[in-house]
Amino acid sequence: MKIIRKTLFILLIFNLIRIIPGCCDCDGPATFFSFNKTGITNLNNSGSVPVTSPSDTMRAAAVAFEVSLYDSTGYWYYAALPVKTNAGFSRATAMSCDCAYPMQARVHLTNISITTLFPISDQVAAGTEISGLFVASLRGNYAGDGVYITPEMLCSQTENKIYYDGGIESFGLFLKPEVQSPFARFAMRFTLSDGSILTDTTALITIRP
Amino acid sequence: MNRPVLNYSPAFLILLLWIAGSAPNASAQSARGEQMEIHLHFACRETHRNMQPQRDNIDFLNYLNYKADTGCTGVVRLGFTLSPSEKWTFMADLGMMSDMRFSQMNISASRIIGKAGNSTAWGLSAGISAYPVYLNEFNEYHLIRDTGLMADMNANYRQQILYDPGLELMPFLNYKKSKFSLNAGTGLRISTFMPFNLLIMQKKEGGNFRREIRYETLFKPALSSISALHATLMLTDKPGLSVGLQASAQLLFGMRTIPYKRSILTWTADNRVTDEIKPDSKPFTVTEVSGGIVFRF
Repeated sequence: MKIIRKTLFILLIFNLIRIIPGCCDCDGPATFFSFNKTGITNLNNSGSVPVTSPSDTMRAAAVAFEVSLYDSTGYWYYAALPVKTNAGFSRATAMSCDCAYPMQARVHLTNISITTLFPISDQVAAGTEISGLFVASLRGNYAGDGVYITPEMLCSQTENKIYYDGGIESFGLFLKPEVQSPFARFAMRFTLSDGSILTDTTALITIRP
Repeated sequence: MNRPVLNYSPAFLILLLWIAGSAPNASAQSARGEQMEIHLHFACRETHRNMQPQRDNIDFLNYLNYKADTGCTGVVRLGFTLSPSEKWTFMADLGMMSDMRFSQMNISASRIIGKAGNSTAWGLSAGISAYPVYLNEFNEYHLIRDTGLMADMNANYRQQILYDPGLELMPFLNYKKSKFSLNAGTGLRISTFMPFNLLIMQKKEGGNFRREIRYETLFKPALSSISALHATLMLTDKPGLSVGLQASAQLLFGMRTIPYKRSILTWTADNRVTDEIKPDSKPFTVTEVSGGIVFRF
């Protein structure tokens, strides 16, 4: 009986030793990056959830865009390289470590300014600053969120944000009023916390009722 | 969030203390030995409240067992009874519905207080009980009213299990002759539907418009009357183990409602309108009949 107990104890010790280095260390330091590029794609929000759309035609009450702010230098390649911390030999692990690489932007969004290039209605003429007529939603929350957030709230949520496996700030912008003219186009200005400004313009949208 | 708590009258608490305080002496009051019972019942329970006209605000009790196939909900009840003496009986009972999990319970203590004849006695019973009821497809309220919108973005079958825990106090009459005994009582029950939260998310079809309706139901203690009838016929009367048949009926009647707080969020979370709504209290009944076997040892 004593021999069985001792054998089990030794096996337990071996198992513990095996388990401890078997865990992956995923708590790597964040890689810093900047926002220096923008991209705007059209969203089709006529269904239950918004989906990106190649079409430049939108419903009058469903004018929506997805905006992406990112770094053009391809930092994610360097971030994904394995970090060599052990000299001479590397630690054995029970599996390949599928870690998400944390990234943090050096700057964050402080303001979104949107100007319409076509009249929205009789009250909202071309050239008017209409960011107050837009609401926002962070990408990934499109289906789960009941309601939108304000652009101001969106900006505050980008502060100290950690991005995993891809430093792309991506969000949807949704126009509240129905567009009453046959075309729509918007110029967007994104102010960052270091004072820099990124600008972009949407495609020319054909409005259908 | 502050919620009202249950307030019991001092007289009720004194009565419970008196019943509990007498327990240690109970076994000395009778020559009869300790008796235990295990019972297994098959019950049919019907919960009913008349459908009220739909108005501007949802009345959740309109969806009580809504569109259910039968009015009768099958319940399997398994219980244990301990009688340390002829005067005292302690009972614990668990009930299981078609989901095969114990979701209802009843715990009570009964004491025979006096004799009312050769075979008749009277006493008092106090206990706690809880049972579930189902609110089905309450989202239909919005599906019918909120036209032009995807009125409920949640495509799942919407059902809310509603528990109604309560405290009971019931004077009863006990008749016992040979192998037959009958218990009949009527009393009061104070209970409240357990609060729950519901979320309805809406979106305009072909548009960006989104709205969220959040319901938070509130505590609302209510007084109900409770009446119960319980008959036992022992088929064998052996000293070690005896078997018998049991039948029970119980009726709860009260004026019940489910008050709630409703928040409507339009476009964004900060654009919110909150109202507190209390639909009218209407007659609410729970009827249960059951039959089964009992093992006494």
